[in-house]
Amino acid sequence: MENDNSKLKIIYAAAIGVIMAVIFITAITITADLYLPLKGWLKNVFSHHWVGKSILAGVVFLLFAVLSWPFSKRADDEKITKALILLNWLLIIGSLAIFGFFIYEALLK
Amino acid sequence: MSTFLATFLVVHVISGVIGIFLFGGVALNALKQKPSLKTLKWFSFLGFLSLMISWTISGGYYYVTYYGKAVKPIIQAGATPWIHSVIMESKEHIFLFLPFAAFLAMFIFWFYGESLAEKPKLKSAVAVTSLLITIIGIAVILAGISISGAASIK
Repeated sequence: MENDNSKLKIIYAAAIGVIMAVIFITAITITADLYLPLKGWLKNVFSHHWVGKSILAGVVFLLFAVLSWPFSKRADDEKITKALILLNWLLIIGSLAIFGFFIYEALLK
Repeated sequence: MSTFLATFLVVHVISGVIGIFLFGGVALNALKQKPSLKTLKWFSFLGFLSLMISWTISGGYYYVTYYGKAVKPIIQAGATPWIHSVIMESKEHIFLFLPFAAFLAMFIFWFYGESLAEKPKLKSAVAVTSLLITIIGIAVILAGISISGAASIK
């Protein structure tokens, strides 16, 4: 039972990490195009803005997965299912937000 | 384009398509009442690995070293510049969701797969995640086809 909860805690922490990475990718994609110094900073530090976003998304994933692990005292199926449902919605909303933003930037602005 | 970069581009496309269709298989299998855990584990592992290859070694290298210098200017000067400003910009960023979501799905099947049959809600949620990887992935493939098309139209 304890072993099962350890597994669930690791999966829940990974889910939190992925949720935060998806939010981060959406936010930095839109923000870096609205605030060009941020895009410039990403290019200066990581050689290319897309490389910077990729590496930082990985860092955000690891950071939140590691941080949320000790803080989630108990993880159960219900918590993980809720996290997955939230992730599924974020995948849809994030994709539409990025696509909608670039349509606005390129064609409507 | 050098043979080296052309090879990277081919690897990028093939590994991306394989990864996305493996997750299609994961989604269909996970939606079954009695899914095959062996299939879920290996399809998700190979799908994740394929997406990582498409993201990092092949696609990332091609995109960073060649696309911006050689392909982007052709598209921007052509009849459909929005293919870069809307389709490519969306594709390169939305794609970043996929390896993370794929990792989580794979992680669940490998660490908790034995218990999934008794947890229908959790099984359905991870099946939907896999289905979204496939749907978003197909949109990314279509975007790639339109980018190649726009770059080859003179």
